[in-house]
Amino acid sequence: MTENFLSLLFIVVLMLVAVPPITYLERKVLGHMQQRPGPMVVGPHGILQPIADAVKLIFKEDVVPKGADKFLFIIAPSFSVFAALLAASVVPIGFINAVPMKSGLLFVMAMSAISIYALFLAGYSSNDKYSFLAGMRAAAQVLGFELPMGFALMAVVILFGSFDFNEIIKWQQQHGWGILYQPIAFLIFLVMMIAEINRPPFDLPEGESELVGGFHTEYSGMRFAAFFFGEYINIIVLSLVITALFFGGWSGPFAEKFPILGVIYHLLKASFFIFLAFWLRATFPRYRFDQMLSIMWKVFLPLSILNLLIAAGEALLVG
Amino acid sequence: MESYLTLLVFFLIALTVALLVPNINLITNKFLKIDKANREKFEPYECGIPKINPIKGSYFAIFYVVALVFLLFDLETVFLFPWAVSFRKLGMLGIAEAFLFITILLVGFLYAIAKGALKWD
Repeated sequence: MTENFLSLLFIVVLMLVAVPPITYLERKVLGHMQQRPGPMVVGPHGILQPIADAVKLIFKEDVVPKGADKFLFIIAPSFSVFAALLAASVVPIGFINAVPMKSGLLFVMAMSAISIYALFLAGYSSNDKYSFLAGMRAAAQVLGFELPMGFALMAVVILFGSFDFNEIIKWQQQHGWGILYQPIAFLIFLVMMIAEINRPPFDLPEGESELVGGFHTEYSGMRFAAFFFGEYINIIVLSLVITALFFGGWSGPFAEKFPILGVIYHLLKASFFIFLAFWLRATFPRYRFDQMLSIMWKVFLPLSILNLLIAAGEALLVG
Repeated sequence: MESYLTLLVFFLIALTVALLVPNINLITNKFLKIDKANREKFEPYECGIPKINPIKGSYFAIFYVVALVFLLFDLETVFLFPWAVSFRKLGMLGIAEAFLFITILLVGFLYAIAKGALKWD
């Protein structure tokens, strides 16, 4: 019981503390990929930039635009952080497992899906046409990615026979990594993960070249920052999930003897996918909206349903 | 049961953090001198010019039909997740039944495509 509470505190603190360095790393990585140095002024190589940002954001004026729905406007950023933190609660990192839940995978899916409400409410309540369009886009984007993601996860669940992360990783320790069995599910889940966290090339609700700032046009100060807390926590959580499903989670050499190594393995594997999110942002242009919806519905959805057949065959063979 | 107790504690912690973090500005603003007389800054954003086509009334959501098709398939996933977990226990009959179910829904999906439900021109 005390273990659970300690790991619970660890996860909350990790999620909140990890976000500012990740925003710094994102800018640095993007900068170097585009052959410019990135933040360089505050501290050596700009390493104190997140602190400067935090001070600036904390001391900004609290502005609620005229004609906005005040209650929803205030609640939307809170909802973003809340849903992201709840999704983080059930994902085990090595032996650190705050809420060991039998249906952990379903819970993560549900929580990261409802975090889209934050974007929709923010866009709807701002009384701004750009925000409103972005909110509509966020709602339609869910309709696109949720189904292929569900079917990709279903294929994986058929293979592993459980929603419990501990069971899933135990299966992989016996039979080998999930990506060896389900490469198609991995690719679909990766694309849908990028769409779920609204990262480029699927950052349509933000779309700064079309919609000013998208759903957070009217937000400033810590309300604005809260959306990014939510977004980056979701990135971390989904990276942990994808490593747990396809790359053996915390399994690795000597991880059985020294459990702390398992935590490090899991975080290292997950950090590659966080890096991949930055990498994709530097590489791809944004999709047009109808292109995105039609690729989701006409390519990924049939593919993920066909993948169920492959998964069923494998489950019968492997046992 | 224990895990649900920790989940409840987590729920409360997440709720406090989520309510606290976005509203820090309400506290810090007490110590700042703020110009409330400038009304212009409370206007919704419009590139520094008077508002053009502000939103009012209704908006036609073009993805209405897509949302209906989505609802159909989402219900399908709800039915299939329990099947996926107990896949090995159900045996060949369960597999055949589930794939029959999926085939029927795929026919519906093809019908929706043929009728142009997934067109955005």
